[in-house]
Amino acid sequence: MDVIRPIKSLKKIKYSLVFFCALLLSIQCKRQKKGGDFELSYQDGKAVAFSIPWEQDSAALQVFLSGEGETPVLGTQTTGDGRYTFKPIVPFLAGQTYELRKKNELLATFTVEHKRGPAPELLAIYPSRDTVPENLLKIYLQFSQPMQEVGEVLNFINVHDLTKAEDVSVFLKLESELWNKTHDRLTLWLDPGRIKTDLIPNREQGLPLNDGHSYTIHISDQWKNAQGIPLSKAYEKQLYVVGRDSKKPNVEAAELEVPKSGTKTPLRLDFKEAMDAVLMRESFHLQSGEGIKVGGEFTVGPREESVYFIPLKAWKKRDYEILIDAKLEDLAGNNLNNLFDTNLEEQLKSNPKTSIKSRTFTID
Amino acid sequence: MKKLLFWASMCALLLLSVSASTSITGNNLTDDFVFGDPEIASIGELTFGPEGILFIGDTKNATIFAIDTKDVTARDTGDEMNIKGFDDKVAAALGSTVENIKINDMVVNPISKTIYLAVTVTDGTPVLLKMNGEKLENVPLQGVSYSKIALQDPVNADAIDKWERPLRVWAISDLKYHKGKVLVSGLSNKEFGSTFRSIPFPFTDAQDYASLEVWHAAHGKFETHAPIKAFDIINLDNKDYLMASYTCTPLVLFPLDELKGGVHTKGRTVAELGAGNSPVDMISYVKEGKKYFLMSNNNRPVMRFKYETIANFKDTMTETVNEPFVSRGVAYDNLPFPYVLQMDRLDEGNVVYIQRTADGDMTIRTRTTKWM
Repeated sequence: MDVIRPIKSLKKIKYSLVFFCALLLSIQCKRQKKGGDFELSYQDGKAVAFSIPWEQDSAALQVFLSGEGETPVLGTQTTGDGRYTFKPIVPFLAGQTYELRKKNELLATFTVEHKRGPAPELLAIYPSRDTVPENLLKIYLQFSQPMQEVGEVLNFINVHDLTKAEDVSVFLKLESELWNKTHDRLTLWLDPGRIKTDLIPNREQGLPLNDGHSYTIHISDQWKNAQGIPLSKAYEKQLYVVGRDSKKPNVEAAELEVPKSGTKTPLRLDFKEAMDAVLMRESFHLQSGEGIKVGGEFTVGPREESVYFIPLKAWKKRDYEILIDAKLEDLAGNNLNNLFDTNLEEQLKSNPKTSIKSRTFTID
Repeated sequence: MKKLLFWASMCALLLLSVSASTSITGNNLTDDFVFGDPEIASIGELTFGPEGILFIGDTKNATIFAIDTKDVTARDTGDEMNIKGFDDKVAAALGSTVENIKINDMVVNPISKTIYLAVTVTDGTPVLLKMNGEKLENVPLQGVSYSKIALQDPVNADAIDKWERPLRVWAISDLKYHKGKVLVSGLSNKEFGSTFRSIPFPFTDAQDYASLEVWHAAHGKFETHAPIKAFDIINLDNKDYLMASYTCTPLVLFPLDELKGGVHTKGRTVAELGAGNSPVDMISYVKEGKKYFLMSNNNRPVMRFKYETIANFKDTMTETVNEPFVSRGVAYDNLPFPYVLQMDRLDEGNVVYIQRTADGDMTIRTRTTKWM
C-alpha cells in the first residue's frame, strides 16, 4: 500500500490516504488514486505523478529520494486550480519512499507500493533437447514477460560441469546483451572465439563445452521482470555433450513427408538434427510451382528437428516449392551455405552462395 | 525612368537575397527534420555530429535517430568534474537506486563541451541526461526536432525477397559521425554475424553495408563475422582509416575509402592486445604537437598509442601468438586508469571519464591530457 505520513510543519494540509492499488494496477489505462487531498496518478500500472493542494509559490519545492541530501528527482512541476503537481521523468519506483521538500523543510513523505502482477516464468530454454554437440553455439531463454533491462544477465546464470564437479564460464560476455525487441527472449552465445579452432581464446581456454561431459545450467530466481518481480522459481536444464557437429544442414537430404491432394494433412520437412529454434520459426516459405504464395503456416516440430506446414486450403495436384533462408543454422551455427568454423579463403573458392535454398515436390 | 530603375533594382536585390537564403537553407543539415515525438525505445550508443546534432542508436527499434539538441553555444573548455558516487547521483535524479539504472554511454558535445549521458532504468525507459556543472538535467526526448533511419537488413542481389522475413535485430555496438556519414557497427541477436554500415547524413534511403574481414593472428584464417566492439576514425599519412577493435582484442585498420557497399575489405591487424578483454571507448587527442589515441577496456587499463607508432607499423600481423594474455604488434602504454567504463574527449586539453574505483565507487572525473 502507498503510504503518506502527514508532517507537522505543514499544518494546513491534512492527509488521510488509503490506496487500493491491487485492483487499479491491473488496468492498462490511466487511473488516479485519490486519498484525501493527495493524489498519486498511475498510467499502465506505473506511478507517473503526484499532486497536493498548494496555493503558495512552488518554485522552491523539490522531490527527493528519502534521505537524499543533494540531488532532487528530475521532473516537471506545474501549478493550477490550487494544486501542485510533480511528474518525474521516469515513473516513481515501486517500494521507494520519496520526500517533498521546500528548501530544507520536509513537507511530506510517500512510499509507492510494490506491484502485485504475476511473477515471470522461464517458458523455455532452447535447444529444448538435452544432448548437444561440443560446438553448440548459442542458447535462447524465452520468458513469459519483459525482463529487467539493467544488471548483467550472467549474474543470474550458473553453469556447473558435473563431470569435473566445478562451475565453469561458457557464455560470451557482451556489453550489449542480445534481447529481442519485447525484451522477453535472450540470446546467449557460447564464446565463439573458443569454438573456432586455433583462435587465441580457443588455444588459451579450450572449448566452452567438452565432449562426454554433463552440465547443469541454473537460472536464479533472483532474476526480475521489468517491474521488479522475481521469477516464480529457479530453473535448471541438463546438457549432455557429444562430439563435434562438422556438417552443414542438408536441405536435399532432409526427409520430406508429402501429403495427399484434397487433404489438409501437414507437410513435414525433417532435418534429422536439431536446428536453431528461433531461425526455424522464420526461415521457411511455401509457394506453388508458379511462384504464388501458398496460404498456411509453418510450425516447428519436436526438439526443433522438423517443420510442419498446415495449409489453409486442401492440397491441390500441382508442383510446390519450399524456400528456405540459407541463414538457417543447426546447433553449431553451421548454416545452409557454410560451416561456422571454416577457413574463409577456402570457403570463398568453394560453393556458389545463394541466400535462398529450395526443395521442390509434386502432389499427384 | 529613375523610379522604374529604382524598383527594378529593389526587385533584383530582393530576388538575390531570397535566392541566397534559399540556398543557405537548402544546405542546412536539419532541413528534413520534423518536430514531434520520435518514439525512441532504447538508447544504447550516442555520438555527436555537426551543429549540435546528436545521433542516438536505438537497438529496440533498429533505428538511428538524429536529434537537434540546439545546444550550439560554443565554449572552449568544458566543466571540471570530480564527482564521487556518480551512479548514486544519477539514480537519485531518476528517483531510483543504483541497481535499477544503467549508464549506457557518455559523449561530449564538441561545440558546447556539455556532457551527455544515456541511461536506462530497469523497466527499459530510456533517458537522456546532460551535465550542467555538477547538476544533472533532463534532455526531453519528446517535442524535439529529429530525423531517423531504420537499419535495414542487407539484401543480396540474388535474394528472393518477395516474402516477408522478420528483420534482424542488430544490437548497436558503436556509433560515430565522420565527414557526412554515420558509421554504425552492430551485432545480430540470431546469427553470429556483424555488420558495419555507412549511412549518408542527412539521411536518405541509402545505407552501405561493408563486409569487413580481419586476420586473426594465430588463427591462420580470415574472419568476416567477428563483431566490432568499438571503433574510431584516425588519419594516418593524410588518409582516413577505420580503427576497429574486437572482443579479445585485435586492433585492425581498414582504409575508410575502401569501405563500400558490396565490397569485401580485408583489414590489417596491427596489434593483438590480449585475450580476456573487450574494448569500450576510443578517443584521439593532441599533446605537445603529437597525436595520441586512447582505448579504454573492460578488463585492462586505458591504453595509449602514438599515432606515429601506428603509422610506422607497416606490417600485417600474421604471426602466431602462443603465450596466454600477451600482446603483440603496435607498442602502447598502459595508463594507470583501470575500469574506465565511459570515456570521451572533453575539450582540447581534457578528457572526461567514468571509472569504477578500487573501493567500488563510481566517479566521473576530468583530467588534463598533460597527464595522460
